[in-house]
Amino acid sequence: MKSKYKAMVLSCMDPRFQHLVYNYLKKKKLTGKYSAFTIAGAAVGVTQSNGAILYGPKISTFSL
Amino acid sequence: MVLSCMDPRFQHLVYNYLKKKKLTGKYSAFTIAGAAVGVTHNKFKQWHKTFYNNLATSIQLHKIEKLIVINHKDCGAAKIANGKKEFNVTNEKKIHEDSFSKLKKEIKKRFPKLKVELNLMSLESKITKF
Repeated sequence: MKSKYKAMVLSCMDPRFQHLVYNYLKKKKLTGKYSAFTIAGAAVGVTQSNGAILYGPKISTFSL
Repeated sequence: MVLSCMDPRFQHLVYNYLKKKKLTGKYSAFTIAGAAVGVTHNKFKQWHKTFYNNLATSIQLHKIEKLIVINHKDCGAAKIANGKKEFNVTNEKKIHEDSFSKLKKEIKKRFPKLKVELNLMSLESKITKF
């Protein structure tokens, strides 16, 4: 049976991007067809081995 | 920050609920299986630290004042948390309530200034507040 879902979207937590990502996916006709994992940094957040870079004292040097 | 579930059926419902609340562009997001269930239940223990790290990051970067939690009915993560018991409306409601209560307590301990709003959404977009 073919699934009615197409993808998981990995995206960033940044407030400036929630509607941009939503509208991009809407334009791609993916509304209702994707699950979501939203986390600081998207791919950076799930691949950076040194968590301290994202969550440690140097946090202010990063623009998320 | 909005804590909500990964479920494909709810992405546009959550987005539109927040739009209606005039919050577009004003919230950060942490989307994970089960929302509050995912960040509190023992079956998903490895996810908890990631959530609190993300919340701390958003407090620092985005100066947020509130955590808006949106769990939803017919939740797959709640089914996993339920285990081998029969998964029914009563059991699911209890899982959501427990997750809300644990999360509220933990937030009070870790981030005492942060307000918390607890919501349970249905597939018809109806919100029940806790």
